[in-house]
Amino acid sequence: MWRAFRRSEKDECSKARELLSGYMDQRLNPEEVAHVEGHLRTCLGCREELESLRATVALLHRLPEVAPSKSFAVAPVRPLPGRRALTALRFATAGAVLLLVLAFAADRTDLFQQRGPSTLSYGPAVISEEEEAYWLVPGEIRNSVDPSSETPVNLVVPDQTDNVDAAVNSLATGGVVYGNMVSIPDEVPQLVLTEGENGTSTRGEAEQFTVVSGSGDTQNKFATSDAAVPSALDSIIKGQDGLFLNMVPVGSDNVLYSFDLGESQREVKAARENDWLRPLEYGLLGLAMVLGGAAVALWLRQRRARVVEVSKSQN
Amino acid sequence: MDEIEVIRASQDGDLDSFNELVRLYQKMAYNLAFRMLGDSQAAEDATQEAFFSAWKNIRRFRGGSFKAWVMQITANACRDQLRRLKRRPVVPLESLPYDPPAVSAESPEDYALRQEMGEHVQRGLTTLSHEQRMAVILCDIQGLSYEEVAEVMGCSLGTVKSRINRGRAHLRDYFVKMELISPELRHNK
Repeated sequence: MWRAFRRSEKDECSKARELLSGYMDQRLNPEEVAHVEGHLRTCLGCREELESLRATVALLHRLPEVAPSKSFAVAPVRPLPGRRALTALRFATAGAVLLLVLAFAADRTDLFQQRGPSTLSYGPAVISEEEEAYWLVPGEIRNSVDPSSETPVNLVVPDQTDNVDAAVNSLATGGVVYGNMVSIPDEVPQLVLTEGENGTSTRGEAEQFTVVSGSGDTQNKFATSDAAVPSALDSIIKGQDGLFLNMVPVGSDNVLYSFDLGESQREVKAARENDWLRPLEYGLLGLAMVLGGAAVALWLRQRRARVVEVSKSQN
Repeated sequence: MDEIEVIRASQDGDLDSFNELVRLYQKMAYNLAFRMLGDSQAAEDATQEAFFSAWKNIRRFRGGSFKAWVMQITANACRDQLRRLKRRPVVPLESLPYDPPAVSAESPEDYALRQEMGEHVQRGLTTLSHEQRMAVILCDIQGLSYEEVAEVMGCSLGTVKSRINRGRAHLRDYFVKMELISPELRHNK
């Protein structure tokens, strides 16, 4: 029972002590005031608690006011030099970077690469009812020609010996090679394959193929020998770092041959077709660096000016 | 020109008028910052920051107590400073400057005693949580009413009461421990 009495007394004290600060500051309602005063009359501990709190507040009241060593008046801020120039530089840099990213993406995705027989394999062409010959490429048709129109079809000869051998061997063994291969005007290097000395069809006699170079009507012989064809082709191809040929289909029963392109060959071709893209990329990169550098320099100058401004206003 | 007119002129962009307000409230703002941060340099930074911010946002002041508005901005600047100090603490309590009053009637002994007492009290304040410290400083050192404290601190009256009550009790314990309060009250802890 004594313990229960002590506990309730303790509860009373903690309740009263919660209110002591408000009591000191006269922030209690009349009921609370009556409760605190009633308790204080009977509890010495809480009376002393109240006194100690009063002493604490008195100590805080006696704390001297501190005088600042300077004025905090705000100084007029002059507009920083080159604010507009910095904004313009920021936009210009962002624009250059954006264009660079676009150019880079276009380069990576071969956006501007011409569609053509970039990946070819050899096989029989299909002659449709409309008498159109199609290059057959595994999985997709890459190009078509109308045999009667003699429209040149671009063909890239690979620079890998295996492929050349395979291609030429297929010419030899297939015995079904038709038409002339004539050079593409304005393309360098040029290589022309013709059938026989006079350029007539010699079906089944692949040995008589002649490798010539030149364009248009003036076709220069390059090599003309049975066994030399593969090596001649090979040497030309190796020497030329990728060759662009035309194949003109002849006759309605064409069987056209194409050649597999090696990875390196594709790159050469892509580089040639995108030859304006790379300089553009380098140009944009340089421009972005110059503009970005100028923007950073201007920003640093402004920052320094701002610091000076603030320190002036503080002194 | 009364304060409302000065405030209106400041809101129209008159910096001279604003600086009149600065002169009026800078001591109060600086004292809050100094007691909160316990370092004169940090207090100056916070006060300057507060007045810059007040000038920038003067148009947002929509009437009421300008003193409470300025003190609220100062309180926020102090919170920012405390966060910064927490990252790289520099609290040279030993070198707390206690400016002697311009015309002092007290003896050097009294002054030294008062300075020592001031240092102890400042140390005691730093043992409180930030929010309790701010409530006690605003109420017991700067003499703001509970309502003003609530406005400055952006909290309810009940929260202010509780923070002041707990802050004082905590400080009392510290003062008793440091024998700043008479010994007969010591057993009361």
